[in-house]
Amino acid sequence: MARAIWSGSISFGLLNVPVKLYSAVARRNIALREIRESDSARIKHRLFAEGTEEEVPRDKIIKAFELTEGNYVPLGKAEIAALAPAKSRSIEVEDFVDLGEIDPIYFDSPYYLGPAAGAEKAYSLLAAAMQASGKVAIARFVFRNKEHLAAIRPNDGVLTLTTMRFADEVVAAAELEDVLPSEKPKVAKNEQQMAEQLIESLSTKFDPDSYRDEYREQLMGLIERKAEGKEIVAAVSEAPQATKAPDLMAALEASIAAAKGKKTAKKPAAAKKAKAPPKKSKATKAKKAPSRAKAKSSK
Amino acid sequence: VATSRQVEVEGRELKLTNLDKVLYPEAGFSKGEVVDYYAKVAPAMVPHLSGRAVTLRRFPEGVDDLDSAFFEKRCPKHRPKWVKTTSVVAGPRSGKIDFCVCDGLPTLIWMAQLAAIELHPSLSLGRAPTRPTVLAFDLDPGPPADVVDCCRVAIRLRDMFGHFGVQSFAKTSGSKGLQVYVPLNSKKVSYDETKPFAKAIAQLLEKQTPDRVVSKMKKVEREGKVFVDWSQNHRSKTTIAVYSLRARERPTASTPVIWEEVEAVADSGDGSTLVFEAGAVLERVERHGDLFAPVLELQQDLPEL
Repeated sequence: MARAIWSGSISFGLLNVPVKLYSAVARRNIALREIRESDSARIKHRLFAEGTEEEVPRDKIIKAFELTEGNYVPLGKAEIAALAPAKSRSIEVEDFVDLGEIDPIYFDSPYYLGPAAGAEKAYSLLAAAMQASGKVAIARFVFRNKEHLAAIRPNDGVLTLTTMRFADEVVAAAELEDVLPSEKPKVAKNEQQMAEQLIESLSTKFDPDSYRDEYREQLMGLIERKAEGKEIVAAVSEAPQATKAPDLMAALEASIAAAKGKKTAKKPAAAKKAKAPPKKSKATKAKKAPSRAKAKSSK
Repeated sequence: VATSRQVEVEGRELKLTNLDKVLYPEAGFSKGEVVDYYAKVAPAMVPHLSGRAVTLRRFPEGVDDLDSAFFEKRCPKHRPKWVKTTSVVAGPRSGKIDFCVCDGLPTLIWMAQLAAIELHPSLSLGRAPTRPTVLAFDLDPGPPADVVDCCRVAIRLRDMFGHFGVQSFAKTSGSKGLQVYVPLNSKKVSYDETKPFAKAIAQLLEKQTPDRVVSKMKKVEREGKVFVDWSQNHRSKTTIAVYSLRARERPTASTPVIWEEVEAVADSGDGSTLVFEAGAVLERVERHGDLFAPVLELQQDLPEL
């Protein structure tokens, strides 16, 4: 079961719907470790004071704002915490707007909202009402010590919440006037028509599945190939890593090897009809043999 | 030649238009000939489409004009009332879509009339969308590999399943490759089992002969090898229908072949005997019946590992 990362309630007017927040993104980054090339020892990072080699324990480290070079305004953890927005369990809906009015540039991270226990009916009611009105709720809520703006919208009976950037966090195009076009250059009508035709010809339904993170796939492929080729460097100092659970392919391979062992005596009684001259059964056998030899030698 | 006419097919009214329009310029094969092919192959083909969500690939301006060609999952709104549909999830993040279902000659002819040259059905039935009736492997040669290499891999696939006492059947893709179908028709199986199983088979083939087989989608790694595409064993994927025409230069079709033919090509190195155009397909059906019929009938379980 998915674990809620926050719980509270959506409130507007007299309505109050207890909900739980779930992440809608599965982070698919590949975690890589740092090791020493020569002996695969794990790399650890030490914290030490500049100018000395003296190690500084975590609890002796505080944060500071650098006023001018070398001049710091120290800020203790308690001081920072005191400024954090008051903890609140409420998602306060402020407005309802049309989704099309929101420039996607404002959207940040997506989450799902699920009903809290006992609130299923109120939740479904809200989702259905929002679906019917075709509107998106703009709300504020405090999450991870920060006040967030969020858009809540229904999708097939499920409410999704997307955190949004505040207007002052978004860089206005005008601020990049040196690189972005500020006035429209004249475009020949037929040139634009050609571009429009090209767009038309490439137009399709949006299918998120058709776009893949190719870098990630390539990196994973490289890891798999190196792992298969036994180019794995084992750690010297540390205890060996737990081996991966035996995979389906290995089970299949073992199973086929066992089946082959049983059947070596009798030829597979494949029907060789009139069409197939006798040399073919020989050829098939001859082809099978080297592939088996290969499978063995690669182990 | 009348280019448009009203016909009655098994009691269903249909308007056929632009019948003299050439859809295969290279071969001079007209829309009328496409309709005629599908009408004649229907008795063998329809059972393989019946009950399944079908994605249409339409070529209104012919096979050369890819700009106007499109895949159509949602069954066209202007369909006749008697065309059946099934509501199936089209992808993980998309909702259900009403797909066309081809359950008879009239619907098949209607699809041909839409210039739906290629028909891509689901591996499962609309009423049980998570239960594939077959395990399918699409063997796709990365040049300079060709159909001969596909035949050699197909034979290894047949033998792998043979070790488990499971039968498999081959058909040409109608394009460059070959496809191997393992009939299941079992209530016990779901894509959750067939997909990892197919992947494991593909990975094993690759492990045994890494210079001849790839199991990964990446185009760069496929040169000179046969890509064993296992990923079509998925509820929202489709595979070209047996007997479907392909949008190639010539009107070739996905054609069932017997293993002896596959072996003959693997031995001779001549893949030209595995190219079948519409007329040849009809002759084969006349002579041998539906060689793919066991794919619908045979009940088999995935091997226990």
